[in-house]
Amino acid sequence: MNKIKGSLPLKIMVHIILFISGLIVFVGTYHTLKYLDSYSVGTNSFYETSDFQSKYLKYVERVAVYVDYRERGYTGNVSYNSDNINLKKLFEKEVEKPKTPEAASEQDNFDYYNTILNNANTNFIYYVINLSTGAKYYSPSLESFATSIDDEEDILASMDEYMNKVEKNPAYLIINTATERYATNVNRNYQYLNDENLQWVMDYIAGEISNTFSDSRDEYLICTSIDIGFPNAKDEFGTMYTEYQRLYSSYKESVSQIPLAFLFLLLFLVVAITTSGYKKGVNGIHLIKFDQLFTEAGFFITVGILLATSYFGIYLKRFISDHLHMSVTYGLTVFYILVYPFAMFGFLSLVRRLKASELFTNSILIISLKYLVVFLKDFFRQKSFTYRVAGLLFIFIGIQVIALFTLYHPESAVYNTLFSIILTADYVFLSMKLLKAAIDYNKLNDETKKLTEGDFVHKIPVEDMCFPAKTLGNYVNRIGDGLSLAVEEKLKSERLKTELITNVSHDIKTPLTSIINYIDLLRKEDLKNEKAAGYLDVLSSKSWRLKNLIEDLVEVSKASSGNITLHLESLNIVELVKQAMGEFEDRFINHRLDTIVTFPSEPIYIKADGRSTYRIIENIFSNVNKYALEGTRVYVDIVTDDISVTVSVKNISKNKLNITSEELVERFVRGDTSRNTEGSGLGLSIAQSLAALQDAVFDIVLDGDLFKAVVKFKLLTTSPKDKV
Amino acid sequence: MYTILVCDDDKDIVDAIEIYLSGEGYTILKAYNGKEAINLITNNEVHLALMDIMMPEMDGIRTTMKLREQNITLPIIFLTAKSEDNDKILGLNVGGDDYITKPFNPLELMARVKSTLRRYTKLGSIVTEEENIYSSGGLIVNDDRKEVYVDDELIKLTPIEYNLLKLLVKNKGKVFSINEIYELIWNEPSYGADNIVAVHIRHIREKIEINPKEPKYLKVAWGIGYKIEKY
Repeated sequence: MNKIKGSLPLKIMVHIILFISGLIVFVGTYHTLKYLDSYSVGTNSFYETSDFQSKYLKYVERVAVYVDYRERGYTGNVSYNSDNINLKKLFEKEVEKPKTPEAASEQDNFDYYNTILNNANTNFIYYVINLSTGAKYYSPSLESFATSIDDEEDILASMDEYMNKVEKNPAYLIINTATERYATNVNRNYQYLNDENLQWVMDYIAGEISNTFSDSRDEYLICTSIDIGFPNAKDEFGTMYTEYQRLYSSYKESVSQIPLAFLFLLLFLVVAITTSGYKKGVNGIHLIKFDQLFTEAGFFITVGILLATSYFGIYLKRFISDHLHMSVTYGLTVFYILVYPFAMFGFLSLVRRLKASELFTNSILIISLKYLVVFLKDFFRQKSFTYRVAGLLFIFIGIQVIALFTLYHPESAVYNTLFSIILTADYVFLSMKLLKAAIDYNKLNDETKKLTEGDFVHKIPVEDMCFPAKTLGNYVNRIGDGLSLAVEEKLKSERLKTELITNVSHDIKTPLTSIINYIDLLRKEDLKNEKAAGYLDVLSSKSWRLKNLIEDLVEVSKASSGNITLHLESLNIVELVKQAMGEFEDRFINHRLDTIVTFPSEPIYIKADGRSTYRIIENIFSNVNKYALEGTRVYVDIVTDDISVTVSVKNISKNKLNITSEELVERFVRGDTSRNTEGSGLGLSIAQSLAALQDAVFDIVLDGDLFKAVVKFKLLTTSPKDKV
Repeated sequence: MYTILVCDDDKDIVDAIEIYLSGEGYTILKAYNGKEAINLITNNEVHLALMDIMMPEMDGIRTTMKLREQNITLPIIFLTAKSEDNDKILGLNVGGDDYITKPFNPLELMARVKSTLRRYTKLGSIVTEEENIYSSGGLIVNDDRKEVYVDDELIKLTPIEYNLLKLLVKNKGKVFSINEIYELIWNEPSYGADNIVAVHIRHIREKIEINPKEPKYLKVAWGIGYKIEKY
């Protein structure tokens, strides 16, 4: 499963599909929202839009105003000179709506709208007949039709014809002011073409709004309609229609695409989420460097880049659609391409963090909150101390506030001085408290150090300390008491142990003397039994071995407890080793052990106790004599450097050394197979203790069958004055 | 023959010693504490006392001190389980002539008894007319006859051993290092790496000492050299 999740082609495919479906959803949503923003939801044709309906009413009103003007002249505030009006001339050129309302006079607006109304190629067609006078007003496109009608009969006939014709039009409105009735196929959802507004049109055209003085009232037949197919694409209706059609088609297209694209988007987003964080060959969630940033940092970086590219993208989109006059879709696509990678990257990063459960643990906010919680917990748990500190701070701040109050009083030298004094006193108070704590802490530090250096009897002077240093000091003192007591006890018990062993050894030796003596006497008796003589030999050798064991036991006990008086003097270690070798020479020869020595020719002086040092070397040699393989060589080396001299003895063990060097110097431990031979097994232990007593280091190195004993003494730097 | 007092609170040990010593022809007096010992010594002619230290009533040290206070000069050999150096020093200081630790080798005991007795009875009787005689305690080197005696017993030594011993006895108390000895005896410079001197010393010790491991005359100063103890 992880292999599939980590597969790169899959990821690439998923992201391509995500990108495309996202693009479709994004652009489609834009179009849909744009359409719904301009028109309401249920609108399916241009004629149902509020824009169209309001515009249509506007034009109807303009017709009324225009007819009123034609019948009665200009009634506005601006004086109207009919000589000036040259409609034909106006139609010849493109008329533009005056741009700034402030600058434009009502006259200009009036002229403009009339011109628009009477544009030759207009989509809005009107035809008005004054039923009283027979006067006709009509759009230029109706000129041939209007002039062919002369009498009243014709009018009625023509109306029928007109009605037949106009019914096919997408929008029409016919008003008869005489009957105050109207007919229309225009949708009236938005209440533009309601009774009230049309009543206003009827009243206006009859002159009842502008000319209140008029007695008579003419009746009119007003016919208005929209031409089929909007022949003029550039007038108000035309442009509105084109715009609507454009938005509508995009909307329709989008609505059909969005659901599928959205489905794909969701589906592959799920896939992307599940696969994100897996990498070929990596177990678990693989986090890239970015994912390891603090969650907030990652979030802000993503959002920052997103905002920057959005800004840039929006600018580019505007540039493309406004200046290059390319489709909005292109602009949106460019914008999308710029923004998408960052959005997706940031999103998937969050997903990976969530998977690796680092979304919250790696959040600065969460971490800070946790710290705060811990801090608050500690604050209340340690209230015996924190309350004091908080109290101190409250006092300090309180005095500060009191000091500030004095400043509210009218300024005078007295209050200013008072302010300064209180403030200074407050700071001195706080500083003293803090410094006192620092001093106490440092004292504790220094005094405790003395304790760690082995002076367990030392007491920390806590008398002039403050809480909490004082209590801590007391505790440390108590620890010191315990330690010194323990050390004393230990020394005492070691001493008692040695004493005990010594006394017991005396008590054992006395009966042992009898045993040895009587065994000897028995051997001198004339025993007829050969077996009995053999038994006596065993008894004799074992009783002597018992004696050696007891003596070694006493010695190891003394050496390990330090209960030996050392006579330290300047010794030539080379001489000492030679002397020792002289003692062992015959025994080595008996065991066919060949000694190879490497000694410096100069005397090497150390400060040591002669007998103890000999004991160390003797024990090493004795060990060699007992356990070295017969017929092998024994290497004895003395090597010096600037500060120390090392005596090392190497030999090949007779038996397999199935034991560690640490165990070998442990009391009573020997290589298993040598258990039953002579010796107490304490020799190496004694050597180690004696070496330690003299500040020397005794060590054993085992390497296969190679046994190496090393004693390292400190070199006596000043040559001995009493050179014998 | 000589009379020997054996004083020990352990009756079995006293009996054993009696068997050994009476076999050698000595007369044995037995005491089981210090008071009895003093009584026997003052009332009998005693030539040597074997004295345990740890005893009831009066211990060996105090007994010895009492005897010495009364100007009784018989030789006293301590025979005790206390084997510490301090005990030995104390014992010899209060007037003991020798010190044997328990458990002891019967042969060693008898050798020491004999040696002490010889020294005690014959000391001063040696003819010292000849000039080239060097001695320390019972050790005598007669350079005219090229003979060495320990407690009147002739010791056989090789020429090198003899020269070596003579050098040390002549300068008794002085410590000679291995190199010095080598140069003086072999008359050639020593180049180290040779323990022939040490081996000879051990051989001499085995010949002149009762217990070579605890030498009385030829002593080792570890890491410094060898010397003959001055008596």
